[in-house]
Amino acid sequence: MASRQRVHEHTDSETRSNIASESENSSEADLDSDQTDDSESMDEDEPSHENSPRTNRFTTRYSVSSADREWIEGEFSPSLYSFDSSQSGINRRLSNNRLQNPVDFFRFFFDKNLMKTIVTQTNI
Amino acid sequence: MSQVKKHRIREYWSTDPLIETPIFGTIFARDRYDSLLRYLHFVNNEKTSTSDLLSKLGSVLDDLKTKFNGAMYPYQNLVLDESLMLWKGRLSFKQYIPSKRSRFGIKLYMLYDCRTGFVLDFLVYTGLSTSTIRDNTIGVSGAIVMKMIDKYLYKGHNLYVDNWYSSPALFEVLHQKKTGACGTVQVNRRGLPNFQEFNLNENEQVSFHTDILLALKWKDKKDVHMLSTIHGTDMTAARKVHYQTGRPIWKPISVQDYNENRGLIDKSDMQISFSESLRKSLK
Repeated sequence: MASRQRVHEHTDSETRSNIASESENSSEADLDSDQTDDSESMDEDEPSHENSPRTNRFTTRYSVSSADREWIEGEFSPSLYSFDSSQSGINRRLSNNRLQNPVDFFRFFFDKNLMKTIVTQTNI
Repeated sequence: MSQVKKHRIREYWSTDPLIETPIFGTIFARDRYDSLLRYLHFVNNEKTSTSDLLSKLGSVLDDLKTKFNGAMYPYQNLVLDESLMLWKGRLSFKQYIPSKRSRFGIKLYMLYDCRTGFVLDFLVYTGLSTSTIRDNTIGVSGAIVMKMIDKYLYKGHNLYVDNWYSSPALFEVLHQKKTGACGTVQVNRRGLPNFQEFNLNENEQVSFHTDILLALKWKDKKDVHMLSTIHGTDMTAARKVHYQTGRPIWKPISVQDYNENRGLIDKSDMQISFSESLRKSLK
């Protein structure tokens, strides 16, 4: 499991390591809080990182070229909206016993009014 | 008649023992069918306009759309995708997409419910005249998304889209309107982190996030770029196992979820292929 949940580490990219070292000091305060959140899951899963020379990969913070948003590397937990599924599913008018045969369902969509419209328009 | 395919309409009433299908003759007279087909109209021709390319369908299209829409309320996950209905007649908004199974046809934008594969809404692409509100920040594809999903905003739905639609700007707008989104994304989309400088080995991922967006690059056989407002960076075991080692294959949770939720699109494409219309004459 550990080997499979590798996360990217990259050293040959100059830009990245430069920015990383710059921002390292400034964002030190944030790092600690981030790390405590991650420590439970990450420690077990990623022992390989302890050997790597690179520092705090999940906590290095830098903004990637983007006008209006700042991209931060590393772990992320999304803010989700709750969904009420009590209304989900087939409309009650359809799911009662009135519609049983396939043809009943066809007639629900292709009803008399639709037929009447087509007949009227065709006979003009 | 999509199940029994014949070259000419008249052959459905043929008494030639080789191709005879008596069922049509017993239900409907041939000449009556011919004349009905010839005079079939959905709207008075004097009331059609040249600017609305679907005006000859009159209210029929909207009427059916309303009924399908009212037939069910979707579960949490929705998919927006386009499909092509085979059509080789003369039509100004006929599309040619060489990569699709049916190369010529009418392009439809469809909104599905993920759990059932039910088509909730669709939009016929009629070229530039397809009525959408243009918006510079989210683009044409974003405008189509907003139009299609309008009814389901502020409800907490999740929308799965492919790389033609997804962009950071669009996902932010959706998130603002209490709608999650997930999709593959084109690397060069405006506002994304610069992923091109990362060369990954197989099964590695690199991810960036803002307050609400997650952007990740993951290498399977090829690079995969995902954008999501509903997933974290965790990996999960996919149902597949590696063909040599027999161990389960691990994927980012966003990739796995995306694949699962888009699975029913194929089913709907199959249904469309059953009802394709290849006749070029007599309406």
